[in-house]
Amino acid sequence: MGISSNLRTAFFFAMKDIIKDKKIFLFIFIAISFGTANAMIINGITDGLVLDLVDNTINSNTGHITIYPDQDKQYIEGVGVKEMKLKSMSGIVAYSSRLQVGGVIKNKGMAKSVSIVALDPANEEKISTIFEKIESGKALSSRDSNDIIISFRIQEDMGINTGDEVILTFENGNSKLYNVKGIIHTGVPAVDANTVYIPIEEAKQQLGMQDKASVILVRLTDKNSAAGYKPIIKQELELSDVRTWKEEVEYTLSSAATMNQLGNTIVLISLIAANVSVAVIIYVSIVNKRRQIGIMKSIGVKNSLIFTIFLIEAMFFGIAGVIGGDMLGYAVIRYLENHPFYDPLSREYLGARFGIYLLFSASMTSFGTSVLAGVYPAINAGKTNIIQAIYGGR
Amino acid sequence: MIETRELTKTYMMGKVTVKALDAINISIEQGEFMAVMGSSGSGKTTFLNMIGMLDTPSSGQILFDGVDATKLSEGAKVAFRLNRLGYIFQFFSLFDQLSAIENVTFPMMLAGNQSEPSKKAKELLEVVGLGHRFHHKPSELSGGQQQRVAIARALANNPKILLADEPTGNLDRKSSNEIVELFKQLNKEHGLTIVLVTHDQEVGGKADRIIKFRDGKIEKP
Repeated sequence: MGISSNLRTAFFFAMKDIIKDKKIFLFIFIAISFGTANAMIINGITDGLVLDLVDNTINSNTGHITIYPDQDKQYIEGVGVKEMKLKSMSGIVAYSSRLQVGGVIKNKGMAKSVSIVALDPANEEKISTIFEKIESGKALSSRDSNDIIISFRIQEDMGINTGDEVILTFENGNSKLYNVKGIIHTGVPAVDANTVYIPIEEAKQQLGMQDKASVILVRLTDKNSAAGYKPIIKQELELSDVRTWKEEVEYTLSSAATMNQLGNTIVLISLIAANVSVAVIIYVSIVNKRRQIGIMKSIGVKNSLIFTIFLIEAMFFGIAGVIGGDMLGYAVIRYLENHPFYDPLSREYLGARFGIYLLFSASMTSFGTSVLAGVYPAINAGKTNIIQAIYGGR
Repeated sequence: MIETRELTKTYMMGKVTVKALDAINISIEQGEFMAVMGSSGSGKTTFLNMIGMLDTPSSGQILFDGVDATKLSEGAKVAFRLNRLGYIFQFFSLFDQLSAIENVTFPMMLAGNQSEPSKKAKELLEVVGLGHRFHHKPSELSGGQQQRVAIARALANNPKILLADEPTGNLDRKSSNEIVELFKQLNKEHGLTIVLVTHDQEVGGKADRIIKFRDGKIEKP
């Protein structure tokens, strides 16, 4: 009897067996499907969280490329010329120079050290979404000279509301009374702690600084080309401290790696749990077929064919369960993509992300473990002693 | 055709050694219809399992046409069971996931030597009087009909020897008689060697020869 004939016979018997034991098939199908879907969903959610957190950081704080002053300098000098150079480079969508200085905010007898971020509202709109994070009040405009925006922690700590007037003292000692135009909550803790946003022209006037910036944020047409632009910008702008968004979000990415590990551990445990159930169901099913296995052997079925029959059944369970799990997982991830959940901490909607690799890795892992779950019972079935199987005992 | 020489089988029951077969010497000729009788525990089923190569003797020889079966490899024993033996059990031993015709076809698929297994299976089911029950599942057949399907399955690969262990044990008298008549017909018309284990005197009485077992030994007539 050839291998193909053996396989055909094993396949024939296995399919008949599966059709007869519909309940067993259903239980195993559900266990594998949920295990597979769980693997996809957890990894899809983790991926979504990481991507949303990274996007949030890029949009609020770093841009795709962040240009800092050289190590021995406090500010980037000659910003006007550098902005012109950036403007002339293809692939750069927008840029925004920011000045960051220290200061103190005073109101109703209370004072708090703050970080003053001066920016050009018109440029900033093209590069970041920070003004979309206004919790109350309005965003800054380029025409504003007496208005500021404060982060929500300052509001909470000092009891300041929109429309209140506060005294802002700059690090050079200049003070001025400003109207609080809005309260901002970016979701980036360091930014939300004690930041005051002010139009850059007003800051230059108060600080007596011209043509200087603490940082320049750059937005590209494709964020994945940041590494390619980094050396070009360094060379063109003659600055050494130029960082890509990946370098800027290194901390987020490293915590993302931890989240992935955690996700994978949960997935592994759930797959093991699902497949132990599968193994037990298959094992019990085979134990119940002990006499049948004995009869098979008595009519001349080889051990290897019995093993093959039950392995084919396990593979069929695996394939069916994986397909079911893939469909379920895909549907749930797509649903979570379209219905993200709101994270009050980051003030962002965080959703899952579907990637074809999720389908592939969950399917392969789940199918592999399902087949493994069937191997031990199948080996046992093949080794069954004929007399014990037919007559029991002895 | 089948000869046993000093065939012995012992089991350990705790610390006690039990001799299920005690130096059995017997010769079964080709085309013979032989009944093996005896009370429960006399060793008759153990004897059948030995010559059916389902079990291995503790000592002694089983010769099929002069070839010592105890020395055959496991693979050769499987092939022998598939191609040269047909086995029928007391309990209805059909595969309940398969229809009558599929049960009969299955051994032919295993042997891979039938060009049209379905055609042959239908012929065999007609021989055993079940030409109208091809596609019925075992659960849709009576006990007698199931045993007929089991007989048809046992004949699937044209065996020379049919071994039946209490084949009428679970049947009523009418069905029992029909099955025994079927055995006689197969024996006469197809020249099958049949070894039938029974403790039913009426069934055993229809065989050409009866041997009786008692305490693992053949009782002298």
